[in-house]
Amino acid sequence: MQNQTEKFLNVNNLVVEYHSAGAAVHAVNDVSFSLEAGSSLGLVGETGAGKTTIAKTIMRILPDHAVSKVEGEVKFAGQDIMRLSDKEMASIRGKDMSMIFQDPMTALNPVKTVVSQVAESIVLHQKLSKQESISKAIKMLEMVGIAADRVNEYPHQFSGGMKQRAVIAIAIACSPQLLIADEPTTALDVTIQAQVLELIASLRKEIGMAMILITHDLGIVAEACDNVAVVYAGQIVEMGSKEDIFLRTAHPYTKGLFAALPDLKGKTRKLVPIEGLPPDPTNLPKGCAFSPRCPYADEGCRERAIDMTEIAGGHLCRCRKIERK
Amino acid sequence: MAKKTNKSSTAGLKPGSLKYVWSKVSHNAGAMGGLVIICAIIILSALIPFISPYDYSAIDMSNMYALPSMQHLFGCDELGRDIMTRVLYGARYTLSIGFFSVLISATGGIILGALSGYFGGLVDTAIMRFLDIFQAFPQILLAIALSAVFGSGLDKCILALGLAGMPNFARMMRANILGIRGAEYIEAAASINCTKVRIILKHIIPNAFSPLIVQIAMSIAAAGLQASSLSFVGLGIQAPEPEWGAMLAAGRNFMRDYPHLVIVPGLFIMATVMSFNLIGDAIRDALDPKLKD
Amino acid sequence: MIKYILKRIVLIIPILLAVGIMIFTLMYFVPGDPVSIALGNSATQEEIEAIKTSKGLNDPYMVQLGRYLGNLVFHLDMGTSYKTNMPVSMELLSRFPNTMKIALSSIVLTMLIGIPIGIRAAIKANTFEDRLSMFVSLLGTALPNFWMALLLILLFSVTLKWFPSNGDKSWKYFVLPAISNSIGSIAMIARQTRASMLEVIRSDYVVTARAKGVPERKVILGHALPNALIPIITVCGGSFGMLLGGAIITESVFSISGIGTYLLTGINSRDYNVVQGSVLYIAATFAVLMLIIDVLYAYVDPRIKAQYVQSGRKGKENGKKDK
Repeated sequence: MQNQTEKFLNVNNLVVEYHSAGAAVHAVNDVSFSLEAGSSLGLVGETGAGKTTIAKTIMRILPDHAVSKVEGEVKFAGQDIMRLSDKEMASIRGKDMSMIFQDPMTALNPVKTVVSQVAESIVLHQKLSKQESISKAIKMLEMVGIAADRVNEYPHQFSGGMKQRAVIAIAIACSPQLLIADEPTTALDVTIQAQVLELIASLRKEIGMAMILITHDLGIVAEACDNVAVVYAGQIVEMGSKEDIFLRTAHPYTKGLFAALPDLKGKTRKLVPIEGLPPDPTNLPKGCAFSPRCPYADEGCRERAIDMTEIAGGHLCRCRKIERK
Repeated sequence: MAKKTNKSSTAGLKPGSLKYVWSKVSHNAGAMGGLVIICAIIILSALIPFISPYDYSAIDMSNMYALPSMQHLFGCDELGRDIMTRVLYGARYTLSIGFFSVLISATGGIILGALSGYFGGLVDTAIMRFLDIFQAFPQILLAIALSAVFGSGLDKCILALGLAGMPNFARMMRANILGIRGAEYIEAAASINCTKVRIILKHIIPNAFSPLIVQIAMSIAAAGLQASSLSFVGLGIQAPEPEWGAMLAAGRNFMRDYPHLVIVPGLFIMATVMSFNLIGDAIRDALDPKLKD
Repeated sequence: MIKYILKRIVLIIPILLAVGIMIFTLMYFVPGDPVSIALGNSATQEEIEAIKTSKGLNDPYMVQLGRYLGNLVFHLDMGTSYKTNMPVSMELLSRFPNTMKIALSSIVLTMLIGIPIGIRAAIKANTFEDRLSMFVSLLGTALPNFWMALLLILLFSVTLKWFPSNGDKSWKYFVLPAISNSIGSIAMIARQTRASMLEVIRSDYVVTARAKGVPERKVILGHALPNALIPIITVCGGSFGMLLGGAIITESVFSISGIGTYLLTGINSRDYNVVQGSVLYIAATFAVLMLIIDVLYAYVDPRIKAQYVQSGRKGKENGKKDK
């Protein structure tokens, strides 16, 4: 965090709070990570862990009416995202960084044709005429597998998988350097999921863009990411290369996640769920956020917050009990 | 427009239950203000014969057009009648027309709408096409036409407005029932072997009635407004009865010199209508989880 | 789409016929008769009866109804006024423009003022500006239009002498009627616009638009507003009715010779033909306004348009029916 040279994307000490019904919701608590150009990072965690909030903060599309506090630093391609004017930010969004949303059913504007929604971002960011943008938009849609004769249809005429393809086409229309994919396959059928993931992978290869993939599915991470950050209660609890996380699992929460997965290759065994529930984000525990559910936790864990420590080159973990296990 | 919701007050209550709605509405400043105004008007209009030293129809030529004073808080009208006394008597008309005409609209409309929604098919078509005729003109025109037929007077005015408001209730009830019948929780209830009677009593009726409460509150406001419009144009309730619209109609001839003759009754109409609207708004917000924060 | 509109226009005819039958029947049962009112107290019973018979008022109900509808359908003839002996259709035709001036200018005012106020309130949600405009709107929805008219006359005619208080000679005469008639609708539309904008602003596709880098102004006007318009149009439908009906009352406050004042004098003198004709005219206008509303739906929402084109029937009801 300190001695990191200018990487492509640096997120430092990010804190985001919402207000809801008079209480402060601690959605993101001191999150730091970085990403090299062209590489991919998986953000893994349960629903409500704050993954989407991290993504929306980077894009600066958090809902104003609900957010009460945003602190920390986001540096993208040498620019301090937090300090940009709204206009400057709008010129980056969709051009240099873009996002694929979780629910393709609601992510497209129901009263505009699909092609016009793709063309819109091309018109905005590339100095092309309307006609040229439309023909480019049609090309983009063909690239994600939507036939040219359907591009003038409205979203309600598309299936879920097609809508997600359209959303992807919007996101990659201007060949961004960074793509944030927020659970891009959660709302889709399993067969479509694989297609969409493959599509994203091949497009990444073609355009050479970096990706942050948000998911709760460890299988998808194993397939699509170079690095992994495990998010729990608004904090990164473990971060490292894919191999670090999958083979040299350190944090008790990450271990718990793997224990709860069925193992298709090995012997059948009983799945071990993580006992308890994630903490209430309006009322986080004082010490380690995972301590109430952690089998190894003691008084020391509950008393004060735990720092990230590097346990091996590039493999970080937020646990004070690592050595003893 | 303060819509402060106190989190603890609704905790543990089922959304949509009457208790939940009440606890939300009771924390809505606007709705409570409206409720206070309506209660105050009801109580004062009930007690006015005992409070006021004047008779609402007593002509007093020495006080013609008297401006507001300690003796006559709102002044006197063109015949020297005490405006405060008249206005509070007038509240009896507006409120009873509001309540009873909506009682007619709601009862008739609910029955028609429920029949239509429940039986569907030919019954539905017949009822809906019949209502189409009633909805082929603006509601106030329907009220004017019906008033013309029935003549003026309290009971006739209630009947005219009650009938004019019926199609709205019927349509709404029908849409509700159709919507609920197709809802997944009804299928869910049926799938765990809930009896038909139980489904109707426990699921359909409570869910169809909550939006109805909103419609009732709003319709009382609308009926009060329409009653005064009717009286203003010479239908509905007629002078010398102190109905607010009739008072306005009588006062407008003298308003150039004595504006208090038209200001006071108008303010009362507005306060009453707004109070019912505020209550209706609050109930709707309480019922609609989407409209939070 | 044109096919759909034509079908809808054809469907208006039976509704109007039904309205004609209903209003005729209602008027038939109204106590009092036009002839004795028109002739006054001096006429003898024999004179009255003679005129009633000559005008066919003593014929059986079915005969009278048949004659009325026959004249209406085949000759577009709405009969003559019992009071003035003038043909009702001519009188209505000459009065119709005044009523439409009030109704249409109110509709324009409502949309031009109400929608922007609502958008602004939604963007500035929960600020002082929002609360103020919503409080004023709340008052506006509770204002009786005829009372508003009286207050406007007091201020702008009596005190400031800017606008005349009654008559219909020039555009100046229609300023106060249009304002007083539209205040309630403006407030209603502003509130609905705010509510539906607030809902739409938080929807995912608006976030998508922002994520594309669309400037905020265009996000609001180009992405959010078209979607928010759907419920707003529904309320517009209701308010068109209110404005048309309100025009009747407004005319009587400002002594404008329109269909409303004609209707009210017709009611007072039991002039059946006048009442029936006026009601039919307003019903026909209302039907056209409602058709415009339905076409507007199709214009803003491709899903509704698809339904129209597919079914050719009234699209809105189909969804409900197959449940």
